[in-house]
Amino acid sequence: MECVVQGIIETKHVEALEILLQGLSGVHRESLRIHELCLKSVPNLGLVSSEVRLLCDLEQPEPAWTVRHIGGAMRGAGAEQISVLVRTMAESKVSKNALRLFYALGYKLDHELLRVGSAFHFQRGAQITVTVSSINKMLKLHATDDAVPVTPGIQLVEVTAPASSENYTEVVAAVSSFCEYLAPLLHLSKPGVSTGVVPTAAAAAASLMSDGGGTAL
Amino acid sequence: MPIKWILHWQPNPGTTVNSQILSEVSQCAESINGVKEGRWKSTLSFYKAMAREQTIANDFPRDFVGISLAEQPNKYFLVIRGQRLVVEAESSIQMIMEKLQSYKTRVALNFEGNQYQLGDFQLRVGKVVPMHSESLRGIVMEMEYLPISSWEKSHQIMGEFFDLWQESLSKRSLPGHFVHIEPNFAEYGLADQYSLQHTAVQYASITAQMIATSQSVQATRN
Repeated sequence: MECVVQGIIETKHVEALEILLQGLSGVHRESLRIHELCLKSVPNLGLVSSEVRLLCDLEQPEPAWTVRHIGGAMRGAGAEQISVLVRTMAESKVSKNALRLFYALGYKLDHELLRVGSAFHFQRGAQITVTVSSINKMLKLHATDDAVPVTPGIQLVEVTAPASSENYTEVVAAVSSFCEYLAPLLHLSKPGVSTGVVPTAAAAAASLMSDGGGTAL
Repeated sequence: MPIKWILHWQPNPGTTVNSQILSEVSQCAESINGVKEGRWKSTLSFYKAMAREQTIANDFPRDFVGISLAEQPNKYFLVIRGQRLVVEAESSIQMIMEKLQSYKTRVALNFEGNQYQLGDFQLRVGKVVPMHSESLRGIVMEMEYLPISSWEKSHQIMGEFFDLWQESLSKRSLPGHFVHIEPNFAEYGLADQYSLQHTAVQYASITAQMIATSQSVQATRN
């Protein structure tokens, strides 16, 4: 299981956001360059169609592959109340043949994208990961060197934390509380719930850039 | 990683494998001064495509297996023999496959038995039984040579040890013999340096062999 929130930020404010994240988390940014391939089962395979993602971490000395399955979100009145999405998620590191294997099993490439940006991994009430990245599409199949942003000038911010059925309420609380600190720069919400950029972003960013985040917002 | 040959028991035509043979094989390992070290168990599961129409089911691989190896229980190996594909994953891949619901495992085989140390060699003798059953379907042996990791370089010494083993076993006049079939690892994209993926490929290979043998026995009977 995992807890997820997302938001968008203008590219011109990303540097300020990263200063803030570094200050809040106490960790340095890590470079992020992930090729994400979304595969869908061909018609007739499985009683219902299925989707699986293959992620290739291009920042590693050797491309490192992971298979990820994202499941349904928690439902019900309780779920409606919380501002963080809680969903099932399973992943596994895999050797490099994984794409060929899934093709052989009857999965086809639905779409692929390249995420480029930064990641922060830290512990703050939960094991939290914040990624700030531009989402890019490839002009030719698998051509990661030839990618263009899907939304130029806008980057996606994602905050995720692994959770279990025993501890998800604590994880949700930790994620929500962390997100409040980011409020001057961006609004984070459940994926699929669209929000825009935040009106205070420019002022907040200016403040962060001018004194390197030393002043509390 | 030390190289390993995996052998399977080929019964003589008209005979089947039985626990007496298994017992004789174990005794043979002990008679050549094999020191019993402990138990081992590996598992192979058959994945079957869940196709909405039966006719379409043949469009999907029918030789797709998942393997869990004794020496590394947190890993899982997926092999499609016909396509010469082997993928190494974490054991969580099983949960992913379950969530996808596109393939299901109904039948699984356990390979389990005792392990023996013989100088630089490690021998494992194992029975092959379907999960949740006690009926013996086959016998396998693992022959591991600890000092060498290169498949090529180990060939001679493994061959010599294999011959020695066959000779010791032949004194017991058992109705069958062990067979070593070498998969073409290069076709699977595997290097000369031995790895768990090589072991997974050998298991997929001998399982296919054992099934083919038992099917031909059935056909002869019918």
